[in-house]
Amino acid sequence: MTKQEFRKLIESRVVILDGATGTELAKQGMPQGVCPEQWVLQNPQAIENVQRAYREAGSDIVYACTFGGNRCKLEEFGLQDSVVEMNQALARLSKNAMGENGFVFGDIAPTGRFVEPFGDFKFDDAVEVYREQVKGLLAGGVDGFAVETMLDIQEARAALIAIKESCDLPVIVTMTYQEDGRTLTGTDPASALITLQSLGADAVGCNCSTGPAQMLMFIQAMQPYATVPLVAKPNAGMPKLVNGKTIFDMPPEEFGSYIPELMKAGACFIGGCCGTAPEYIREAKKAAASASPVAPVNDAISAVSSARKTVCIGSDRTTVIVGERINPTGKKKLQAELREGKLDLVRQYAAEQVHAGAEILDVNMGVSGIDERDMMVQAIKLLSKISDAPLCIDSTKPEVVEAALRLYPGRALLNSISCEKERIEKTLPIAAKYGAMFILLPLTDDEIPPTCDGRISVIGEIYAQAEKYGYKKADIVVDGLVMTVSSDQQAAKETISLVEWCASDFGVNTILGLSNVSFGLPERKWVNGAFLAMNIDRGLTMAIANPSDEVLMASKFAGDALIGKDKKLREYVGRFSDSAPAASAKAKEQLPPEEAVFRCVINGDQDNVVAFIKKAIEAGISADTLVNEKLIPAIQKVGYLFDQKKYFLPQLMMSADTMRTAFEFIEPVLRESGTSTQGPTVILATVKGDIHDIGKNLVALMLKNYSFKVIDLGKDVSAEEIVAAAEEHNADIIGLSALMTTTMSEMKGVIEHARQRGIKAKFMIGGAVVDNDYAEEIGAEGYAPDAIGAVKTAQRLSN
Amino acid sequence: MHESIKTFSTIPLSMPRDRIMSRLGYNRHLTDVEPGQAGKIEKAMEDAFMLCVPVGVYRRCVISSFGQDFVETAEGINIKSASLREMLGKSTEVAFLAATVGPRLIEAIKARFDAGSAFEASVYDATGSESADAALGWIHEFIAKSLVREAKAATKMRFSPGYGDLTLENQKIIYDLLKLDRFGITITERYLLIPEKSVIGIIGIEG
Repeated sequence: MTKQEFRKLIESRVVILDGATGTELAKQGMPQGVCPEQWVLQNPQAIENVQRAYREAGSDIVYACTFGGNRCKLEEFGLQDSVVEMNQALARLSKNAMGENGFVFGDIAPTGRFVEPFGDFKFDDAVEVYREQVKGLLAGGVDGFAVETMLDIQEARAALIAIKESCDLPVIVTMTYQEDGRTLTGTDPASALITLQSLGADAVGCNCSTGPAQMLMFIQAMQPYATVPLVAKPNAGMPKLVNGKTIFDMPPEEFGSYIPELMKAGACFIGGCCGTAPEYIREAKKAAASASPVAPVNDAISAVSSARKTVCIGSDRTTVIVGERINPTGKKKLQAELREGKLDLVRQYAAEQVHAGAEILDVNMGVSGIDERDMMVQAIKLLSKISDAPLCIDSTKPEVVEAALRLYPGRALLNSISCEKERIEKTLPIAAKYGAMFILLPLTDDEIPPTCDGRISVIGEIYAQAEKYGYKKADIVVDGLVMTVSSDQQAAKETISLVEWCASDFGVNTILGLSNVSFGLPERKWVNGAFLAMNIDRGLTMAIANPSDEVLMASKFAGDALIGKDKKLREYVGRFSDSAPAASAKAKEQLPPEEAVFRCVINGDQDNVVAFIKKAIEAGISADTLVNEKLIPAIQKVGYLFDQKKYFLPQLMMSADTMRTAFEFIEPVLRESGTSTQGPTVILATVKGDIHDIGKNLVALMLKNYSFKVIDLGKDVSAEEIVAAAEEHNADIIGLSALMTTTMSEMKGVIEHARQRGIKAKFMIGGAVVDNDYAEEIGAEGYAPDAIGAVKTAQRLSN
Repeated sequence: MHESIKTFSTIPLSMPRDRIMSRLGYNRHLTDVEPGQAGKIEKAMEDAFMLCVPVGVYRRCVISSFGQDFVETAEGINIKSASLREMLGKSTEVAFLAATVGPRLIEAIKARFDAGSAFEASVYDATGSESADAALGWIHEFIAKSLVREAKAATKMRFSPGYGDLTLENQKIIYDLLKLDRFGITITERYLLIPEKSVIGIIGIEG
């Protein structure tokens, strides 16, 4: 079947697929635990019976019995060396069953392994596994392929690429979504659709996991983005667990009742999955006859995707910021890191840019002296794991672009394709193969056209080439080519004119690398911000920029708000409405300085406490008074609020940090005035063998805030070291911490050793696995459940 | 080529905000957080979560025999625990799971404390603990959902060494079985996993 014939199938009616195969084979006598593919080959009549029944019920296409026919799955039965032969034979059995009355699609399903960047299975190894299966299915004469029940978008991509690289037959790809509307690996229906249709799938949809009611929601979520027909192959209702077995109990008539709604939402291929049988398909066929298929609403779509998120681009939404910082040009620190093979800054820049408002991340790994291809692959693996933002692959080298687009688990934006010979001849076909959107750079091998008209001419040339590969206007973004106004004051106007022409006349998206406009000028941010706002007004849809630039981002939000792209001003208000911290600081300014010190501790205002202490001292309040009448009462009040659960741990710790900061400033003042006092000495340690110390550290901080002298020995400390420190510092209290059952017994050893050495200090213990009873059992005088409890226990023990 | 250990090089978690807050002692009926503090806490959680790189593995093993207080698998793995044996009563297989959020967060906790922010250190710590646990929960759910097509089901409960009568020593047996050294996880003489925010779990497979 050709792709055109496949498309023609749905012109007049919905195409009916088959239902469940495994359960039908079980009805034919297939025992549990066998390899279904092998059993079918030994019992060919069984599959013939099942598929004839589906054909008679109305199936136009059945899937060959090759769900587990890949090398990884067959290996579980020791059949990994028979992949091609088995798939060929199984395809032929189905072809015989269907005869001239229907089509057979090769069934391609998960390997059971997890493909990089999300798993340890190399992407190209996964492609090879599927390529081998495809070879057998092609030899068996299949009419097309169905990649189904995919949990992982990357595995679906691997299968689709294997098929595309082997033949030109039509491919259906269906993913499996949970009730929360995502695959188990986190992909949503729209992102999967955008990724798979751009990569060349001829129909995309979902199968398994849910019944038709839930699946309707997934199909509806896909419809606005679809450029290909949609597919629905639901289970017979939601699975129910009865006596440890999963059952599906939706009757065929009810199953059929959902078909018209699925069709209305764009499902042009309809079948069944777990729990369905020929009678369900008969009902589906009957129901489908009453409605007409709804063709895809778009012929192309301006959207890029990651494995977990889609970003649409266009004049009907706000300006998209592409974060520019993951680019070593002019960044010595990043260059040095990349030369060492490290990606710590890439990770940091990604997080910071997304936090600051970037929706897409540009990734450029072009540094001399490194393997750019390898580094780009490493960066994509990392960024795909740590960020949901879709990526913009930024390289001039075709081999880097190919490696990046092949691995990237979504639909990328490619930066960029110009009219230069190598870009047109090498990079453009690669971009088309992987379905990437691309930034069209209107320059040639010979020049950067200085005028808008010159650039328009180059745009026409590049677009004509791109159309040959199936590109539509929605798939491209024109770069307005920002030049420096300090060397040519006309440059900005030419760019603005080009943006306007693209938006109004040509009908494409546009992007600008903003900062070049202000090169060589002082206070560049003002020029950049104004330039962005002017272009937004003329129809600009994207900008490559540093989203941490507040002026630039303010211009973007304000520009989008003023021209109505930001509907109901939601984004502007969301961005700028929170000024609470400033208000809180202002409120303290109204108080007498010593009261402000008190409030700082209560509110955990570490940043301002020293300033108010200085003011209070300048106002004649002694340091001693500040400590005894403000700081200590404040932290005591915080402790009370914590006990009452009005405060929780972060608030307690903010106040403790504020106290520490206050004491660091005020202690030298107290010493000078001779009023410094030091409380009892506490030795603190996490016992030998235990590496957990956060709880102990918090206790140390709180005790210091209550004027205890704390000697913190750290974690994994032996009994001998603890006792030696107690002797050296003449400790009043020894606090021991242990978090695990295997280390709590160490506490007893420490106490025994201390007693043998004649140490008089009292012991208190804490940690997740100990309690008051255990403290008594091992001879400790106190137990504390948390940091405030530790202060109370220490106060009791030192009285 | 095919290994029975399944590896997730990344686990697509959403930040388990409610569980982190709960771990930190937040009580929605009692606790009163002013907006400025809430913003700082939220940012600390987000920063900490960014440092988490959740990865995980699991392995399914066929149960070969049950004793009164132990379970043994076909691979010869023997886990002693009466309560685990009870949980696995209807199971034909057992799945061993492990997850970690990696070492970066642990380094950051120390760095934040040393820099004078016990507040951030405490939020980072809770975020790491809950994210590791959520990662383990994700693997549990993944297995459960994957079993539907096999007409099997996973136990809703999950056991971890160090709780009840399933002693921490079992951590070493599972550590070796799952080859956790491949992820840079080490185990101490006292059976503690390093990096600290690493967790192991056991579930049953019924049907």
